[in-house]
Amino acid sequence: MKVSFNWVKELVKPGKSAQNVAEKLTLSGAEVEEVKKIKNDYIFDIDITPNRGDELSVLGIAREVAALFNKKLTIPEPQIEEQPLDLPLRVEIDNPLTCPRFTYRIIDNIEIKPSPDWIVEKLRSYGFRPINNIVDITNLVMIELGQPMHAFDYDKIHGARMKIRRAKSGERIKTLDGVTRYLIDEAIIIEDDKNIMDLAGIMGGEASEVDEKTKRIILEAAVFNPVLIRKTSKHIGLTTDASYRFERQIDKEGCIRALNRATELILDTFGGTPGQAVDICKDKISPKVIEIEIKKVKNLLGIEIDIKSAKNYLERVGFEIRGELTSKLKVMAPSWRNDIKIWQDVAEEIARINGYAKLEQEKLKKSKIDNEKTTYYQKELLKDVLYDLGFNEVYNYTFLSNKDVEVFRSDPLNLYEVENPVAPENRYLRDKLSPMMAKTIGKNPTFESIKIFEVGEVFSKTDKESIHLGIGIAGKEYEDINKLTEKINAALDFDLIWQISELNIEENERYKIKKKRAAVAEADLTLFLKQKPLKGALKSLQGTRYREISRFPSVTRDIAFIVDTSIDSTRVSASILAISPKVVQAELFDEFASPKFGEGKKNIAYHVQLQASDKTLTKKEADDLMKKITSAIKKEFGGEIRSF
Amino acid sequence: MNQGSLNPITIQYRKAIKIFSDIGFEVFEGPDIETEWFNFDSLNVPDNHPSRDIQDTFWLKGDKGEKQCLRTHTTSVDVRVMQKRKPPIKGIIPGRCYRNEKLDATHEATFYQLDGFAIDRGITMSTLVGVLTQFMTKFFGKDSEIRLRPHFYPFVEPGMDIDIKREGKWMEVLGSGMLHPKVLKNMRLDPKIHQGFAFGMGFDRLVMVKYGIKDIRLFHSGDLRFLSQFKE
Repeated sequence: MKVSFNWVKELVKPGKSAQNVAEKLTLSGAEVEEVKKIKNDYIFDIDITPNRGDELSVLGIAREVAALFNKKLTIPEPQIEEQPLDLPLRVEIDNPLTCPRFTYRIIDNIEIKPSPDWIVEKLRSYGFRPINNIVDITNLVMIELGQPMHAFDYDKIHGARMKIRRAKSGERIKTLDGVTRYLIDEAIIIEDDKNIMDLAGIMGGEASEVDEKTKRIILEAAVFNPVLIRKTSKHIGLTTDASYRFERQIDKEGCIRALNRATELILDTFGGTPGQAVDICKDKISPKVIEIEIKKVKNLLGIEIDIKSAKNYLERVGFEIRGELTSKLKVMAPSWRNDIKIWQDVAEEIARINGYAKLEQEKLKKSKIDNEKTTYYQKELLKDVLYDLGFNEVYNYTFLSNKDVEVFRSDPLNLYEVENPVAPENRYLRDKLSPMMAKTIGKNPTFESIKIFEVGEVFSKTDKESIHLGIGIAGKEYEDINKLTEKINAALDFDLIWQISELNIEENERYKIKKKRAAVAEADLTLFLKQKPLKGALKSLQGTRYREISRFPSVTRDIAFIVDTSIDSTRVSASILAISPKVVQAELFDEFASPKFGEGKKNIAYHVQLQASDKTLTKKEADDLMKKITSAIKKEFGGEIRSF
Repeated sequence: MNQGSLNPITIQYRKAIKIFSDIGFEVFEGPDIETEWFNFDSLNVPDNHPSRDIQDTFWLKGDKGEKQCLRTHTTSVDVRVMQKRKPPIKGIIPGRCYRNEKLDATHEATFYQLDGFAIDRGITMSTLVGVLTQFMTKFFGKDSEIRLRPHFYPFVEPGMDIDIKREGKWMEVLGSGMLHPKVLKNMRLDPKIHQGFAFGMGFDRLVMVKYGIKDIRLFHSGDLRFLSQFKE
């Protein structure tokens, strides 16, 4: 939500810079994602969590700022000189749970005009399109105080009667955006003797719209049931600024204030004759008293809190403390804090105002655990076996398309189907790993030979969820897939049962595999994971220096050195890599000692891959890099260049 | 010469899980297909509450019985584990999760989480801070700058986020808090007696920070130019 810092300052003077205030808000739970300077103002973009409906307004943020900086908050509480109007209206509410509070005021002798610049500007900074003075002022008050409002044209109400009730399924209303909406029985509507006039809490209806001829209005500020609003808004696929706030619950004690604020703005800027404010509150809500024990709060937070500071923090965020200051406090949450229900919620308020930075760093009681017998650990040990056999691990998506189901002959009736897939390719959950393995082979046309594996979940209605091991191989130097699966079984010392498919030309074409031969195989790991045959420590592989894949081609050069046999060839490759970020790989492909190199000498040879992330390397740039490598290796290891 | 490699998520899961195993956390796993109750209701996320909107869900077609979805977080495993176990307990849960999101360089519909929870006598919010700070320094290095912030998650109260500073900017990496009494009840525990914490992290993001990977989609790309880099 966007909030203007200048507007906040109309209600509270923090005496601190915008950056300062933004940081404090962030550290107390209202995360300011951006502070943007616009003219002489700062606009905060705040991520307000769904529990804090009270913060969805300038007032809400100002309250928070006042609490955090311990400053006084000034809320506009205008007094209206009400006039007796001879304009009858009867309001009926069929169930107080649907509409716990309904307040309104009739204003006579108004004139519909465009809003003055200051209102237009304020609305525009919040992304609202100005419409006319009345509509603009109701929007302005919603932004300022968080109370959604609506104005009806009094003369369009038939029979001087408004009835607030639940809709009957199938009833419809044409809303202000010109769309006819079909309602479910969770919707709340307001009707007169003839029409449905309002889709309450979401959007007004065309039938009672304020237009240029409007002379008198009914200004409404009400509270509607959050669950009903949410269900209706979801059903018709329409979220409005009003419905968003009602869903997150508004201040039940804020209606009259908003009504008066809007009336004041209308009278001050355009004139009019205000009638009496009418407050229908059938659902008397007695504020809940929560008992908190300071000892419990300490035990929850793990830090010392004294009663006096607890009381001070709570009062700053609007709580009322009842009775004596004892170790058990009776507290009453302010009317706008609908999220406060249990003593832990109160404890969070204390922790928040005290500052999370003041929480301690306590250690856990030590205990020993043997995770080697978990299925997780067995899967990881299995991955290491595949790694040692030269396989690359892939993570594939767990979905299948119609095409995959067809090619790999899955039974669609036995598959789980996603109700709302992101794309048609993701229609089913996979019942085997092989189709995606084939797809992955096809995605790597530049690799001469491919050896990949995946350990992952498969799903079917008969077997529910199980874990499979899948492999995929392709290329010119093609290992026999049957032999390879036997090799895996031997390495595991466990007889996995494999499903093997060598892909035919047609299948290769379907998965865009350009290799001469390709095959996939997979095995169910259920029994393996039950027996847990593997032991030992896991590889940690922490050494990777990651490089982004470049869109530009790489150059591979070979280089060989004569060095002392005592020199570790991996140290040499590390040094080659350290020359420049453009050295992408230094792969040892030859290492042998021979008398022809001299006593205690050996030959080491590397494929060196060079690549830039932003351009294609020229021949000269590659030559220069190779020269740098040569001189560095000579300096560091005394290595004599043999060839390159 | 061995040309094998492991997915970077696998590699970093191992590092993270070892850090937690060393202080006594047990590894648990749970199903990808989850019931509405375990994924949402048991964690104090009722259907009619806006807190559901944070997690757009893939639902599965079904004829009858309880609605099923692809889990939106591994937190769903916490309550599952506690249907069978009693405190004291410390659990760490890796796993794949799903959310109905539009894909771009920082958003994936298929992603990975690492969740954890602990229930024992004497566990406080300060224990949570201690455990997670220790984790962050071991995972990212001693001089990592972190900060704590209140945050809302329906299954905890109080709730907390942890940010890490990267290239001068704060980045959210961890959500956590003290288990909500309603969740403890769903774990078949008495909130008057038992207290515990829970935390969760979007693991792909952590791995991206760790290696400087710029595009979250690479993990599932199957691109061997990317994957083959992660080896000895």
